[in-house]
Amino acid sequence: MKTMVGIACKLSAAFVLGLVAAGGVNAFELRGFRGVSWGEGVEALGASTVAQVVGEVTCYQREHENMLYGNTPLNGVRYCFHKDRLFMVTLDAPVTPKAFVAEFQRLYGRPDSLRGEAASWGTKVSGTRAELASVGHDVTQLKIYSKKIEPGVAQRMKPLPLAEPPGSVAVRSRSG
Amino acid sequence: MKRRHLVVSGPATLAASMFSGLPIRAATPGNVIKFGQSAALSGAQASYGRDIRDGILAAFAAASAAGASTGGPRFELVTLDDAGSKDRCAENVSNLIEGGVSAIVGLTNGIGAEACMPLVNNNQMALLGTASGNMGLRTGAANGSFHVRAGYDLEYKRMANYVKDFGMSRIGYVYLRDTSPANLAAMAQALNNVSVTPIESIAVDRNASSFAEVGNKLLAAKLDCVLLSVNSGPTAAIIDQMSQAHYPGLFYASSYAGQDLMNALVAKKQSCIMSMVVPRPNSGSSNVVTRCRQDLAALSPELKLGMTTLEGYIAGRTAVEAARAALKVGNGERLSRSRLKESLAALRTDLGGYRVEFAPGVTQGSQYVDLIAIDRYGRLVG
Repeated sequence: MKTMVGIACKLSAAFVLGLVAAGGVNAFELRGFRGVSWGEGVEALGASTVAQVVGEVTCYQREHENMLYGNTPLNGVRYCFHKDRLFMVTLDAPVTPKAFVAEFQRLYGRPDSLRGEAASWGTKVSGTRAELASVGHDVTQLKIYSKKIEPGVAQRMKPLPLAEPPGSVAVRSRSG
Repeated sequence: MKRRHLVVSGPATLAASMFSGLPIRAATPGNVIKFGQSAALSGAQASYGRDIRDGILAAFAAASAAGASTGGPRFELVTLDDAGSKDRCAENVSNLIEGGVSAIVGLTNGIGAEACMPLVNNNQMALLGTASGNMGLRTGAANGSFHVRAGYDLEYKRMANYVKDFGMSRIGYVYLRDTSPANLAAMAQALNNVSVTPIESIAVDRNASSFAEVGNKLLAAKLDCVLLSVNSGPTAAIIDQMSQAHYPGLFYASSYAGQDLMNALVAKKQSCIMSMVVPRPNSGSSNVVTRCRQDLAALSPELKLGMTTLEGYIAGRTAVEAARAALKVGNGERLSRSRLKESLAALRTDLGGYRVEFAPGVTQGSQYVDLIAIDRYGRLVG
C-alpha cells in the first residue's frame, strides 16, 4: 500500500512539475517586433523619424510601416529605445480595447490578466510583457516591452501621446 | 533536339563507355565507384545545379586523391542536365541506372526526385542527398531516399516560429506550382501550430519570366512577412519588385533559393531572412566548411564556397563515407548497389561540425536548420 501511495505521490509531483514546465514553455514571448530584435540600435529601423522623446527614451516611427495589425487598423507604430537599445514597441489602434484584445489573442492566447478594459500578457517567467489599455474614446494602445532591457522604464512610462501619421513629426531622419 | 550536358569528374572516355548502348547492370568495376546525378545545369536553376555538382565533385576529388596512395577507390560523378524539369530528371536517372552507377546523388529537383523513387527502389539503389527539403521524399514510400539536410517540415517550423516571435500576423506564402502536396501540408501545419493563416497563398511557375502580378498581389495584401519556398529566380524578382515599391515588411526565403539568391540580394543591397540547412559558409569554426573551401580550391581556383556548394559537398562526403564503410565490410569485394544502400542506412558520421546520422527506419540524416539575415546593406547578420 505504501508503495502505491509513494508512486502516486511521485506521479503527482511529476504532473505538477510538468505543468510548471509547460507554463514556462507556453509563456508569452516576443523576440522583438516585425524583424527588429530587442536590444538592437536605431539603425535597425531603416528610414525613420523621431516621434517622442521622454527622458532617456526616444521613440521612432518608420517611414514605411504596415498600418494593420492582423485585421485591425493602426494609427501608429512606435519603436522606443533606451540608450540606443530597442526595449519597447507601442501600437495605437482606433478600436475598442475589447476588439484589440480579440485581435492580439488570436496569436498569443487569452490575456494573463484582464481588469476592466485593461489586459496584459506575460507571466513572471516571460521575458516579454504586453499591456493593452484604452487611451481615449475608442482608441487603444498596446505596449509590448522586453523585461530584460530596462523593464522599470517601460513600466513607469505613461501611455505615449497618440501617434501622428509618419512624416508629420520629422525631427530627425535616418535613412538606409 | 534535346540538349544534354554530360559531366564526369574522370576521363571523358568514361562517358562514352557509359552510354555506348550496352546496358551495364552490374555495379561499377575495379577500383572506381561511380555515382550518378541529374541536375539543372541549364535554365533558371542552372546556378543552383552547378553549385551542387561542384560541391560533390570537390568531395569526390579529395577522396580520390587521398585514396590514390593507399589503393583506395576513385570516386566519379556522372552528371546529366535536366534543366530543372521533373520529366527530364526521371529520364536521366533511368539512363544513369542503366549506365551502371552505384547510387544517385545530389538531384536538384525535389519533385523530380520524388518521381524517380519507384525506379530507384526497384533497382535496390540509394538516392542520396537530394538538394531539396521536399516532404514527398520523406514519406514511407520514399524509404530509399537518404537525406543529408533537414526537410521542409523543420524549415517551415522555424519560419512559422520566427513569424510569431516577431509579432507578425499578416503572412503571404509563395510556393512552386508543381510542389509536392506534402510540402503544402507541412507549411499549413507549421503555420497552424502558431495560429497563423496566410492572407495570400500564391503558386508560381519556377521558370516563368515575370512575377509582377505576384508582387502586386502581395503588396496589396499589406503583409508583415512574405514566406517564399521557391527557387532563386522568382524569389529575387519578387523581392526586387516589392522593395522598389517600399514594401515595409520582411521576406523569409527557404533554403531552396540558395547561394544564388544571397548573391543577388547582396548585389542589390536588399534584405531577406534565409533558412540554412548547412553551416554558414563564413563560419570560421566549422571543420566541414574549412575542408569544403580547401577541396573546392584544389578542384578549381574559380570555384567559390557558398551555402549551395556546401550542401553538395556534404552529400558528396556522405557518399564517400558510405562507400568506404561498405568496402570495408565487404573485404574489398566489388561494391554492389544494395551493399552501398545498406551501408548508408547504418551510417553515422561527423563531417566536422555537421553530423549525418542514419539508422534503421531513419533516412533523415540531419535536423540542422539555422537562419541568416541579409540586411539592407547587403551584410550577413543575425
